[in-house]
Amino acid sequence: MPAANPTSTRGGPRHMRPRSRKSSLPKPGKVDGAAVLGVALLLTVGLIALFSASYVTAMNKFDDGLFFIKRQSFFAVVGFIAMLFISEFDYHNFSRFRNGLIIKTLIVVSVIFLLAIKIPGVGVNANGATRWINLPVVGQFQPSELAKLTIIIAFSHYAVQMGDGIRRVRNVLPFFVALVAVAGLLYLEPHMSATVIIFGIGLAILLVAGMRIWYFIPLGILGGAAAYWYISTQGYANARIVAWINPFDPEVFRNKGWQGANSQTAIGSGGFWGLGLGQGRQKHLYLPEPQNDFVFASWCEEMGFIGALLVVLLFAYLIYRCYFIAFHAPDKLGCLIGTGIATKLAIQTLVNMFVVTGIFPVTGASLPFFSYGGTALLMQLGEMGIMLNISRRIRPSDKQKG
Amino acid sequence: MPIKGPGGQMRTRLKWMAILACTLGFLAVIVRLFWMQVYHYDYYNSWANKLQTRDTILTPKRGSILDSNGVELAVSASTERIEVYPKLVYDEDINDKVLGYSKEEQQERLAKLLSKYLDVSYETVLKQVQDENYGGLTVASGVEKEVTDQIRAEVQAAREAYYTQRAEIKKAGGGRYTEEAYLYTGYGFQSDYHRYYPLRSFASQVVGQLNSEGVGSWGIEAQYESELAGSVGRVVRAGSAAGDNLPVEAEQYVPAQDGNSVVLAMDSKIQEIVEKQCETALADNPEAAGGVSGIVMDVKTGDVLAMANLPEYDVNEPKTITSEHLLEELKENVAEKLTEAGMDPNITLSDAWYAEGGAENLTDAQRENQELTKLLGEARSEILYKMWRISPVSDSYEPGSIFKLFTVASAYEEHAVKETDSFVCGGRLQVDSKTSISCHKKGGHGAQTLTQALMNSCNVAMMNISFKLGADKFFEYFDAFGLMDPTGIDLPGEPQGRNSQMHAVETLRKTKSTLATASFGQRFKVTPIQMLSTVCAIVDDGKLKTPRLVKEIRYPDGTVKETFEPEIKRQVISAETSAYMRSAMEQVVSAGTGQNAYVAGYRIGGKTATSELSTPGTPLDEQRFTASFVGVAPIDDPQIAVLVIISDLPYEATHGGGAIAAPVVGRIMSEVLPYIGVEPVYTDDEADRRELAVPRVVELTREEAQAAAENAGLTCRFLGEGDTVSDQVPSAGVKIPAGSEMLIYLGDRTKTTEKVTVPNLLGQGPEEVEYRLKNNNLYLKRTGVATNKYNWQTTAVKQNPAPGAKVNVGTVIEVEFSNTQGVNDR
Repeated sequence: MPAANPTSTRGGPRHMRPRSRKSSLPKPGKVDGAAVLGVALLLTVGLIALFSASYVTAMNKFDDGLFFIKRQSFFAVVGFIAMLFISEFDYHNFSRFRNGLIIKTLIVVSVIFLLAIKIPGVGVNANGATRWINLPVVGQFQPSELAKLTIIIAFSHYAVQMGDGIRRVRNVLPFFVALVAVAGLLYLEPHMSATVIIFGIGLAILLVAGMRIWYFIPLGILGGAAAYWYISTQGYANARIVAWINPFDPEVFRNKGWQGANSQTAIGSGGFWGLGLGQGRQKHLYLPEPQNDFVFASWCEEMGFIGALLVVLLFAYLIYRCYFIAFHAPDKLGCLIGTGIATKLAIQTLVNMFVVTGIFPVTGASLPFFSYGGTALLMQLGEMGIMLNISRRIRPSDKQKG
Repeated sequence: MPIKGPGGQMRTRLKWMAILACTLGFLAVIVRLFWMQVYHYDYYNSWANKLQTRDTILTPKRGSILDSNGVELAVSASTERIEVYPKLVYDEDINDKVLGYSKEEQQERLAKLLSKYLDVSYETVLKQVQDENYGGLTVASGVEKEVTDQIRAEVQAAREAYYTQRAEIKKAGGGRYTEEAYLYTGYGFQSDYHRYYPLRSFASQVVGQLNSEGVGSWGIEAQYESELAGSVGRVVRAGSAAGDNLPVEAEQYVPAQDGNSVVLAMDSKIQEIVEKQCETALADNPEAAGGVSGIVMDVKTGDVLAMANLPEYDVNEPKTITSEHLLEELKENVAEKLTEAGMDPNITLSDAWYAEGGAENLTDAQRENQELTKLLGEARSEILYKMWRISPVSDSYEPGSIFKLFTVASAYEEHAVKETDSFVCGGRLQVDSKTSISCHKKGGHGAQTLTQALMNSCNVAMMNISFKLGADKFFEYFDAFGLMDPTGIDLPGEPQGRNSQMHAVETLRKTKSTLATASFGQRFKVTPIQMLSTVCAIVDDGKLKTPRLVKEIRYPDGTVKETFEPEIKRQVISAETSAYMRSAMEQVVSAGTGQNAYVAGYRIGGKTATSELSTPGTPLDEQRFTASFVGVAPIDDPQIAVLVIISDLPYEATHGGGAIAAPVVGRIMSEVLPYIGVEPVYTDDEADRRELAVPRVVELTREEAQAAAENAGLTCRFLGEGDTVSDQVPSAGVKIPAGSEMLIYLGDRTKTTEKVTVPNLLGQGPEEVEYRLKNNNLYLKRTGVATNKYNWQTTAVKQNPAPGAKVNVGTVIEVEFSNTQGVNDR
């Protein structure tokens, strides 16, 4: 296997190529300030949006308009501190500590959790799907969140161990087996969006790690066939497709379409300037769960195109910054973990935005930093902590290129 | 193994991935957002309005109908409509998960709540609540706020119970909710209005009614629909999916425009008098199959001050028949329809069906017979339409002798006749070679002046007058007096177009007998309102007015929107002719066939009519008649004209207009004239009709008391011994007829406290009445025919108090005398 040639022109523009190979890692430096700022801004805007969007539902269901925002704020503060704390924890420990014990533990726990969902009394059913388990102390917890992190770290670790061997089919196959296994468990919940996100993350890591691009041809065919089978045989998915194509059709609206239609109505009726913070109308029990998947729709209604643009750009910037960190990571492990975390954030954000704006059919996908959910927020901030830790190892000369 | 940084290939792939995610992905979102929020904003915004606004309208409050004094004849009361939203009834989060009510239990609970307070059965509500095919269903409308407030209170109590118990359970760390705790969802209240007619059957046909959609279908309600209705408002008020109002500023709010109020020229006091007297007339003449109508018109303006058409009905329940007469007619109509259809006419139907209709009042077997129910429905509708009909405006009749006023006025105006002309009546007139037409007085009236011809209501004279006038002029005046066209009264149902019930001018020209019969008002038809307008024109210097009911439209806040001025169509005859006609009409009442309409103290003019309804040649005992009278007062300065029509009487009943209609007009006049402020002026002949206040004489000496009585225009009789008056009958201040005798008690003697029984005076002559009352120490107040017109046939026809009543000594008994002789006009 030829090692990557530093003089090769296949590596992209000159300035992006690594200039030198040092045999040792740089000493930990400062965290990436831009990323921290991005997280802080998104967290703040997210809390404001959640407060406005959730107020009516909270009032209606719990007779307490602050029900959601109080809990979410608590997790936000705890999570932000945790993020800064985790940024001090060297990511190499995932790999090195007791010969990969952390990774093995993560894998075992994830699998147990994913299976535990199916045990009656442990799994929590909501709206016809079992995506949560009840844990002592922690409370309700979404195993798919842990599974995503496990995939990121485990894939990165094994891809680094494999080195250039990843280019061989038989070497890449175990990764796909793992992906299909996890996706299968998620599919059984059913949790379509998590299935898609897990695939996305896994593929992104493998791709960056050096998997051959032509693998995507059979993968694409297989994926297409799976999607076709899914839509044509699963009535529930089919109805969602119909609802996606024309949610405003009266018949569709009365059945599956009203989630999408109400969401799009909220966004569209916001107009350029929006109705004003707190003035939204669709959150008054029209929008399904405005504190959850459709918080962005409510935000667009109240803050208009301008407010929506601000949030989109903030996300885009943070994701860009995450990829930047991955790009300049001092080693392959940092690069791959960074890629996984950045991709997870990107896919999660985009799927949610695609769903609420009607580009995708409705599927349960929450918006990072915005949607209500304590464990999801803690996980997200924890992942950002890992990201920041990677940023500490960026060579000072690379940092300036941001 | 040396630690390596990411290779070149990795970075290339990473870079493309970043570009893909950040640029393409978010660019797609931005483009999509721009598309929705900026480019297609209107589309989504209209959807937002559609989604957020309940599919309801704001019902405007319908304007009131007021009489000229502001008395409410029709008003709309604020009520509420209760709706259920079946899809929103089930609440999963609290009612199910926390309180443990299944979907069915929740539906039942809402149905139970609503059926408890509303006049709807539990099963009906439950069916609606479970019908998820509909977004919203109306459970009940026209519900008074008191009732809806009770529902609100119970809902609130359940809600509070839930929150209180929740707090307690939280505090205690566990516990159970009681049955009281519940959150009701899936129902709503909408404002609505209900129409009330506070005076119920008062002027029912004129006021009219609304159909089931709340649109005026009869009378003023229909005629002034556009003013009364107001305009419907749109609920562009935003609402949450649960049906509550949103706490945001409404962006597009189109309020309902309440309807304007309509102020009638009609005076409810006068209407009340007319209805009361018409009811009396109907009671006195129970055989009048066509009922009794009475119209009072302001002579100067054409305002309809009252219009009664008996039998009336309760406008609040327009489909309920209470009149015995109409019920009888309905039974006949049902039998007739069934016979026609070849069914058994002797079907037994419940009284409730006859009175109220409706399938629920039929037996199951009857209900299932569709042909039967259809026929029954038709039979009932026909009677209802008859009951609702504004007969004086819609139904033509043969005016009979009242029309003679027209014949004389036209001929006088054309100088075809003059006051001094002599008209000889031999009881019969040979109009042409084939036809001979008789007068109602077979022996003939002999030689008469023009005025006497009217006083006698002589047919022969009228025929001759019409010949002098000629067919063309006759028709010309007929047209000029507005009898060929609708009067234009502001009520629905007036026959439109030219009067099809009148002969063509060619016919009048060609056949002399047609003109001859027309001269005394037979064999053609006009509506009562046309006839009364003509009479008003004749007495008001020839000025023909458009009759009208509404004089003003007011905005909902009470300010005047529009005032209608009286409309004079044209002057048909000269002031001189009119003056002559008034004097002649006064003679009709003072000395002619109209003497029963006499009211002491007032100068009244009028004309009687007894029109034949049957075709010539009908045997006498099968003939039907309509008795009517038109009166005008005060005749020297006419203010009101009253027309009373008693329709469709058989021969064997008293059916003369002078005998039965004239007294009704007299009674109406005697009450209406003082009400509108016309002071009575008594002539010497009428001295006994004047009423004088009794002076206080107690404690006076005998001489002083006598002087006081004489000063007051009364006589006196002393009872007991002594010099000082101890008591008197009647008490001071009571009004008694002039010349009546006071009883003055002297010394120890006081009036008896024993009650006197009022004797039965009906059917007795004036002297007998006077004698018997005096014997009982009661006073006589005479009404009806003038004292100097008493003859051997004059009898008491009404008395008040009724026979047998126990009254104090000295009570004034009102007795109405009527002539049956000398009032015949046919």
